[in-house]
Amino acid sequence: MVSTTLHHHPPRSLSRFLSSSTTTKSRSFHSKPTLCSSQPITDQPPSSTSSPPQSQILSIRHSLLSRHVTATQLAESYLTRLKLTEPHLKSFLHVSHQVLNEAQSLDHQIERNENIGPLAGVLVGVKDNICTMDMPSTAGSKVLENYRPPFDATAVKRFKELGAIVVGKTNLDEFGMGSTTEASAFQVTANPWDVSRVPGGSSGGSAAAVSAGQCVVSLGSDTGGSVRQPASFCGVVGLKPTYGRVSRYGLMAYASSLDVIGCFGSSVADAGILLTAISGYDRLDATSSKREVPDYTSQFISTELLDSKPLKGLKIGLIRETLDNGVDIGIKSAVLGAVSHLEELGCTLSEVSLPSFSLGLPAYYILASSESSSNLSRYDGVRYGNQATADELNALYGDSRATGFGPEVKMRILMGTYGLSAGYYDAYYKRAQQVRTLIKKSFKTALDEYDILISPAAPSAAYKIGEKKNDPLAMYAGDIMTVNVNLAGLPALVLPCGFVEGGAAGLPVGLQMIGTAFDEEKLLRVGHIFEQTLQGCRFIPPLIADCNAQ
Amino acid sequence: MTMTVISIFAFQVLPRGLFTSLRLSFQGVVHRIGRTGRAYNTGASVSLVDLNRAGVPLLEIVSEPDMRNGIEAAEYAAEVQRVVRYLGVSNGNMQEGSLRCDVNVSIRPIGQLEFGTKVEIKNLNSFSSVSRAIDFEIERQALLHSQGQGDQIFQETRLWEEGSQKTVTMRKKEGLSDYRYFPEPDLPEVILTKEYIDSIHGSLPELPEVKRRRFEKMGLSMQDVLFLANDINVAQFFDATIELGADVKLAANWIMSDIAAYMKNEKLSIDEVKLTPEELAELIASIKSGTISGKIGKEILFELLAKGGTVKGIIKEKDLVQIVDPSEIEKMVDKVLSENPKQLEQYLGGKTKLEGFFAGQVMKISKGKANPGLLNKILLEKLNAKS
Repeated sequence: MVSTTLHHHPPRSLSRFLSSSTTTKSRSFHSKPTLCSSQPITDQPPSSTSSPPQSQILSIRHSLLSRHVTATQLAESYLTRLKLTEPHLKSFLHVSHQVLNEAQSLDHQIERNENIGPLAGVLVGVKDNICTMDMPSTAGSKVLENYRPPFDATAVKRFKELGAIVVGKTNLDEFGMGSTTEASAFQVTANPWDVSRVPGGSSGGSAAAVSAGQCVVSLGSDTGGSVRQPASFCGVVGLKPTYGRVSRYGLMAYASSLDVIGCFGSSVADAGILLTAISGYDRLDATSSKREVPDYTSQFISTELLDSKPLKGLKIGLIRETLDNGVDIGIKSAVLGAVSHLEELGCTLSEVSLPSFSLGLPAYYILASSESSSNLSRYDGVRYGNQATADELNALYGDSRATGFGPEVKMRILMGTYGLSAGYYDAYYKRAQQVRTLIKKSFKTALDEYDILISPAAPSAAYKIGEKKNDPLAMYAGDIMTVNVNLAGLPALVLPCGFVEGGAAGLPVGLQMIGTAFDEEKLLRVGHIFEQTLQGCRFIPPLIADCNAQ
Repeated sequence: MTMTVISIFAFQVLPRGLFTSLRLSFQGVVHRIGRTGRAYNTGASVSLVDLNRAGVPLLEIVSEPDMRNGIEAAEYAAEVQRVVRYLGVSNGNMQEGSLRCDVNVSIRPIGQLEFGTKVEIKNLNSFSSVSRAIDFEIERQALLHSQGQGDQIFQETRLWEEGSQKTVTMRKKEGLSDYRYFPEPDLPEVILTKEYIDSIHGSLPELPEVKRRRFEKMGLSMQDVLFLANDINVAQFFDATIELGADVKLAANWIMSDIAAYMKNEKLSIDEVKLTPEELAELIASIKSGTISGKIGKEILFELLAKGGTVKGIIKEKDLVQIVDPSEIEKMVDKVLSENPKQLEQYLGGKTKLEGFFAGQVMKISKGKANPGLLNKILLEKLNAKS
C-alpha cells in the first residue's frame, strides 16, 4: 500500500468561488461586491485608461448572466480579433470550427434558464502538446502532423466540464523544446508587442494569444520556464503550478519529472481561476497530488477593501544570483522598481543567496534531455503520427524519426542518450540529480525564512526573431531564471511589472514570484495585490490597439 | 524469471540432495515489467501480433548466482512455479508463457573468484529444457576453456534449440550503454508501510517448503512428501482428507496410487474428479472398520472418481457390505471344499499352495464381500481339520 494518505474530494465545481448562484435566474450578481469589472465585456478590449487589469472570466460570467451579451457575440468578438491579428502573429496551429456552435448551444441553455458552468463561454487556447479530442495535437512536430488524439487531456476535460470552450491549438517549440517558438515545425509566432520579435517559448503561441486578446485564457506547459518566460516576453500573467498540482495526463511528455501544465491570463485572477478549474488528483497521473485544491479565487480581494499596507509583514527574498552579470540593465531596473512597489505595499525585502543557483542550468539540460530521450522513443512511426515508407522495420523507425523530428529535438535526444549511457551516467545524469537535490535544499532553506522569493522571469525582454536561432547555448542561458524552479518542483507566478525600451511601445518585463510547494494561494494573493496597485503600466500590446482602431 | 547459474570450471558436481540444498533467492532483484505483445509467425508472409496481454503486469525475479548445474536451476524454477501457484498469483504455466525463464551461465576455473563471461539462454519452455540447456552450455564453455579458447565465450544471447539439443547464437549482446536505465519519473516511489507488509505476510498461505516440512513430520516418506506438496490442489485435498480423521499413510497411498493414476489417464486435475475429501475419508474409514474390503473399496473409489456419490450410498445400492458373519463364511467354505474334491485331495497330498485357490473360489461366491481375514482363518481351520 502506498503510504500517501487518501483524501476524499468534494465534487469538482467552481461554484464555491462564485458568490452568485450558477443559474441564470439569479439576478443577485449585481448586489454583491465582486471582483468583476463593472464594465461588461464587449468586443472592445479594455479602454485606454490605465486601470489595472480585471478578470475577464468574471466579467464574461457577469455579462452572460445579466444578459448584456450572448455567448455567441462574445465568441464572435474574440474570433474577429483572432482573424485580424493571426496573420501577424501566427499563434494558432489550429482554430476550432466548433466555437460558434458551442457558444450558440450555451446561449440556448441560458435562454432556457438552465445551469451554466462557472467558465461558460470562456474561450481557452490550448498549447498543441496538450491533447484535445477531435482536434489536431501535433506538439509542433512533423512526426505528429496529422495526429488527432481520441481523448482530452485531464486539464482540458476539466475546464470543458465547467463550460469553457477550446478556441484552438497554440504554436510551440517542437515538444516544448525551445525558448522562442521558432523551433515549431510549422510556423514562427510573433510577439504582439513587436512582430519582429519572438514571443518566447516554448508556450509562445499561448502567451501571444492571451496578450493579443485572441482568447481569454490559455494553457501552456512549463518544463524549464516555458510558461513563465513567454508570459514575461508577452506581458501577460503566467502561472507555473507546483509539480503534481495539475494532472499531466494528456500532456505529451517531454521531461516527466519537470513537466507541469500552467495557465496564462491577462490578470492574476484569470490565471488563478483557470488553475482552480484544472487542479487536483487524477488517477491517470500517478504523480498528481491528492492534496485538496484550495479556493484560489478567495485571494482576489477587491482593491477598495485593501488598506494602505496590504502586504505588511510579508517577507520577500530577492534572489541575489538573478541580478548578476548577464541580466539586462533595463530588466534589473524594472525588477528593482517592482521591489520598491512591494516595499510600498508593506513587504520586507532582503537579498537572499541561493549558492547552487548557477548549477541549475546545466543540471536542467542534462535531466530534461535524458528524460526526453526516453519519452520521445515512443514516436517510432508505428504507434503515433507519421510513418516513413521503408523496406524493413529498422529503416521504418529510423526514417520516421529522421524526417519527423526537427534539429533541436534531435540534439536533445542525442544529448540525453549520451548523458544516460553506461559510461557517462555517473558523470552526467547522476551528478545532475545530486545538483537537483542541492537546489531543492537551498530553496527550502530560503523559503523557510521568506514567504516568497522574487527574480526577473528572464534575463532580457523579447529579442528578435532569428537572433539566437543559431546559438543554442545563448538561448539555453536565457532559461537561467526559471529552470531552478522546475528542478525544485515549486510554484511560480510571472506577472508584468514594467517595460524596457524596444518596439513601438516598449517591451514588457516580467517579475517572477516563487512560493512554497502547494502554496499557490499566497503567490496569487501577493500577485493580485501587486497587479492591482501597480501604477502607470498598461500591458495592452500595440498590435491590438491597432486592430481596434480599424 | 531470470536465473543465474555459475558453474565451476572442470565439472565440479555437487552431490547434494535437491530439496535439502535448494534455496530460493527471493532477495534477488524484482523488476516489474509490462507485457507488450506476442508475435506469431504464420509461416506465410504474414506475421500476427497478439496484443491480448498488453498491460498485463509481469514480475521478473532475478536470482543470485547460486546454482551450479542444470538440475539445481530446474528445481529452483519448479519451486518458483510451486510458490506462484500456492499464492494463486499465476497459473505458472510455462507452455502458455505465464512463467518464463531465461538463464545466465558463466563458468570459471576452480579457485577463481570473479565470474567468467556470462551467456544468456532464451527459449526455454520446460524445466527439462532449462536443465538440459544449462548442462549443454556448461559443457560448451568448458570445452572452449580446455582448448584455450576461453576468449571465444562472448557475452551474448543464445537460443536453446530443442530439436538439436544445442544452444546457438541468437544475438550478440549490445553494450551496456544501449540500455540507458534510469529511474522512471512517471512512477512515483511506492513506500510500503510495515503494517502493510505484515498484513501481507499474515495472509500468506502455507508455502511449499513449510508444507513439505509439516508432511514430513506426519511420518510420510520423502517421496510421499514431494508428490503431495508438488501441486497445491493435491496438497489441499490431502490435508482436507486427513482433517476428517483419515489415516495419514492410507490417505497418501490412495491419492498417490489409484487417484493419481485415474487423473493421469483421464487428464483431469484433482479439482475436476468427482471424488471429495469427505468421501475418501469415509472410504478409508469403511475399510479400516471392516465394513468393506480393500478390493471393494477400490471398486467404490473408481465409481466415486467417475460419477461421484457417497460411499454409503454405493455400498447400499450395490449391497457391498462385507460378510463378517463366520457362520456364513463357513457355509461358503464348506460349499467350495465339497464342490472341489479333486483339489482338496491334492491339497491333503501336500500341495498346500492350493489354499489360495480355495480362498479365491470363496471370494467369487461371496462376490468379493467375504472378509479376507475371517475367510483365511476359517479356511485354514477346515483344511487342517481334514488332514
